[in-house]
Amino acid sequence: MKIFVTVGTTPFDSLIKHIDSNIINNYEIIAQISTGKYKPQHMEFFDYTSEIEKYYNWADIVVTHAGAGSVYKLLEKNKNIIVIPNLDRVDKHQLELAKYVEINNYAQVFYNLKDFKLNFNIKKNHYVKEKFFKIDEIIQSLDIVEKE
Amino acid sequence: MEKIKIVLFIAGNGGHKTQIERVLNHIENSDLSKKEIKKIIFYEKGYKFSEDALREYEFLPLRDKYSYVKTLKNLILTICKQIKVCVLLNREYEIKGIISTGPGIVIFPSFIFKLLNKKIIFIETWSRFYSKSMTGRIMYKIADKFYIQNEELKQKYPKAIYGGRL
Repeated sequence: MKIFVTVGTTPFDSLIKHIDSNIINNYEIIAQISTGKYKPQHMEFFDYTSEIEKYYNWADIVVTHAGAGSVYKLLEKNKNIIVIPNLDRVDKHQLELAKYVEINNYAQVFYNLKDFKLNFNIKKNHYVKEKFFKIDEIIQSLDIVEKE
Repeated sequence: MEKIKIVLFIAGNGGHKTQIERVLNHIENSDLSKKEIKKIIFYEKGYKFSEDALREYEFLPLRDKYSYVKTLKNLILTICKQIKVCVLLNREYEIKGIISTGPGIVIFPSFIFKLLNKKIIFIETWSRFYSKSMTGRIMYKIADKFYIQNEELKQKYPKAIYGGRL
């Protein structure tokens, strides 16, 4: 089973440490850790990559912080994900997206690392996004289109 | 001589970056953009932009998450630089408006260009569902068009336009 862990741009050391210490056996894990101070001992890791998509594709399951950039991308790809809001951050912004994912049952959400378990084959709702449909209105209101 | 028409895009890091990139992508793919729209980009320090812009300006984030002293320092430095840059740009180009999805560095230029009667377009960040972002709260009062990406936010911003998700 291949697991990819991603924390986005803000470090999330408590998650990385938790996974590195508790969830190792029988899994192949790669972690993206940002500028985190904790360096994993038992799994492969790196700070950033411009090819994160490659790791998303590689993984059977992705453990992600509740940052919107990561979560929406993963849901759009219909990946099997586990969402953990980064409460190491001073602001608690990630709670809202975590709540949204939980209410709509798009993925498992763990607010507390102590509860975090790797469960497979859990039935989730399919995420369908309503695409942004106001771009033409925006362009028109700016009056930048050359009149023919 | 006629000035070049430009649109000012304001961008940040992390999720803000993904969102503005998607806005740019949508604009590029729109049937209305037969002719390329000339862009100038303000971005928050740390952001590396890949688009082809006429000009780019880097600003410090308004808020330092960990220190009030730094926040105050950033605020002063950023606002001074923004006034200077905005005045300069206004002299040189015909600015049609601002498009942004946050962060805070959008606020002051929006004030300035609002006073100069330019269109201010703000899309509230997609990570908000149940509460306003700090920038959104202010931009709701300034923006000519204020979009939300999550219908749940209609409760908080009754006059906002729901636009779907970037």
